[in-house]
Amino acid sequence: MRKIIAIAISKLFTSLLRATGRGGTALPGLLAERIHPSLLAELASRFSQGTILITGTNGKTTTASLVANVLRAKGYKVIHNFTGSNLTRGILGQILEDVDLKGNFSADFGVLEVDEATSEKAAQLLKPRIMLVTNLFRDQLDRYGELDKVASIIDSSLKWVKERVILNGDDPLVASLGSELKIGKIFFGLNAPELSLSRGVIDLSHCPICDAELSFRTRYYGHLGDYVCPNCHYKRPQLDLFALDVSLREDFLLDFKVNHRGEVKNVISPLFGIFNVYNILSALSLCQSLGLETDFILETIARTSPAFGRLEKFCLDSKECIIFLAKNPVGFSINIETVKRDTRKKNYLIILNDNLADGTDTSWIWDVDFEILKDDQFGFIICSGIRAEDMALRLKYADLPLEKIEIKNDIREAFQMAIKMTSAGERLYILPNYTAMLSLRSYLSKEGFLQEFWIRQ
Amino acid sequence: MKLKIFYLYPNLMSLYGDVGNIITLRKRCEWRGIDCEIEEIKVGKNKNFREADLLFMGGGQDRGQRIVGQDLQNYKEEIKELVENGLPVLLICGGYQLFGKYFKTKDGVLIPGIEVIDIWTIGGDRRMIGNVIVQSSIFGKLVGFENHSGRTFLGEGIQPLGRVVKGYGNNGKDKLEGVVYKNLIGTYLHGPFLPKNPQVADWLIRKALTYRYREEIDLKPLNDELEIESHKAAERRA
Ligand SMILES: [Zn+2]
Repeated sequence: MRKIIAIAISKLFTSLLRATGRGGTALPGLLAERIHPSLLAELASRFSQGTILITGTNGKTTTASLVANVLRAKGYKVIHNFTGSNLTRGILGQILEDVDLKGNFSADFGVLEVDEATSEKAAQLLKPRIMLVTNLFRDQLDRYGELDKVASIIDSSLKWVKERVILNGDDPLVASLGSELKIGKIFFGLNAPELSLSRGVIDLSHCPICDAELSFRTRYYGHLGDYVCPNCHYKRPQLDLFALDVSLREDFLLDFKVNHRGEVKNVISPLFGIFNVYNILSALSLCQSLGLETDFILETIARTSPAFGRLEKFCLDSKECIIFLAKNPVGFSINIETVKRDTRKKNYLIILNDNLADGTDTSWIWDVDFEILKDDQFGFIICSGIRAEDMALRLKYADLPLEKIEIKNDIREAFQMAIKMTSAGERLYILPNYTAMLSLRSYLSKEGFLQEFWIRQ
Repeated sequence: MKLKIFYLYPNLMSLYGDVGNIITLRKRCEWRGIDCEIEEIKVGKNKNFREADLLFMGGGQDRGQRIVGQDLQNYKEEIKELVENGLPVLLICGGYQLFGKYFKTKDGVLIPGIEVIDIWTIGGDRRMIGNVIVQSSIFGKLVGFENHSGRTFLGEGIQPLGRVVKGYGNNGKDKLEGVVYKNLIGTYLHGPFLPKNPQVADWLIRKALTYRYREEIDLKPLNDELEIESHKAAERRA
């Protein structure tokens, strides 16, 4: 009875939210969770092929979308919390979408992304077949506490995994997880010295085992790379799957090779940027672990466009607009570096909010290497959002010309201004953080520039 | 004119954009034609603190703080003497705690500080997180963001940086925030504290120049419109 009430109420709320033009699965999920706390565990146990859990700081959404697409292409029925609502309530809300009033549903796989801090609770409830950890960076520290604590939460979540754990071998902290596990572990990473960085943010430069300063043979972004501890000799594990010959093409295509235990394949993808190499490796490794053929996986990946808001393109008055979600220092720095490769005339709209879902602390923008924009050819940068002034101040101290920087807090007005100030044929790069991206998208959808994302799938 | 800033343990003690303070000090020197050299101090490298005109240290994770706490003991007497002689220092969060007498964790473990200032810190269960507004008799209104579980207490006669108008401050109890001792400032307002409080940055630069050249030096005023706007925006959000 409780179960039926929980389901009915959550469904009622979902339709109310939709009727008022809002999406989202977290609120209905929260209600159901309150009424019937074990509902998630009960429903998840009914995925005929099991649950795949994906956690980590960056790349959860893209990886989960890729995996879900590949599985669907193979004919499986997949439930995937694609709106980025990755607390347990959001996951439950997503599953409830497919459940009838009696609690019946049929699905083969749950491909679920879960917030780092929630991963232990989620793993305990969902008993995942496979779990993957993308990377660990500083993100919304005011909510999570410290990186080491996040790592220990994820570490204890791994004991609930039934079949296999997949870890980013290039991340010294992630690679050190699950050292006690009896089940198989798979490590992925990059062997691409051509992408080596000389500067940029480092979150973790010390050995997770003995605290000595790590030495990096190659570093790709943040603390991801090929590392070794000079003191205790902890080093990057042998990679089961790695990318090589990576090229970021002018036409925004990613072009590289993967080596899976000696077998080499080519990959071309409309996903862009170094971080997407990691996302593709993650997805490939997950799908391989489920027994799918490499060629089939890579063909499907080549046809998959970026998840919503991560990298979206649309045209308005023959001005090309590109949205890059940027919500933490490393993500932001990588986006800027990626955009800077585009040498054509361009402009920027940077939107910074400090709502709860963004992390209310915006201090991290000082860790972003905006200084690299000094020699970039841009017309203007409009700073928008609740903390537009903070962003503008950051840019001032990065030595960017003040006369090219504008502040417009209102996101709609800022977007209209940016479109007006961009000449035909020029590009407008939009870099919003999380809730800024949501409100920008909702405005763009209302105006008909973008499709509603929860209808798209 | 010239200044040399020691940036203490940047790869271990620099959370939440603490580097923003270094960027601000450097830029506000450069804009006035003051040559500003930043020297990064790392664990295990023996350094002569007498070369420095200003010290800066940010906050760290527990692990970083443990490593740094040990290394810093090597310079304890030297730093103490220099601070007594007027060496300007800016300490944020964990750096602030380490310059005190000790940090007692919630499990009762006593981690010694370098006893430069008469303050001590007790670990707590609840993190004190959020926007802060402080009223300071030296600097006027200060804004920032705090995120700490340690609760810091000031010894007798030790002057706080200011009184908390909004937020928790040193310990969430006595309404005091930070410390000012001679030319040393300690605070829980983390990350980019100086960009939005440029008067503090200029105070530190002026004190550092005076310390180096042994004479009062006036700073050329800068256009701080944007600094003031973002100060106000932070205040509205607090
Ligand atoms: Zn080690």
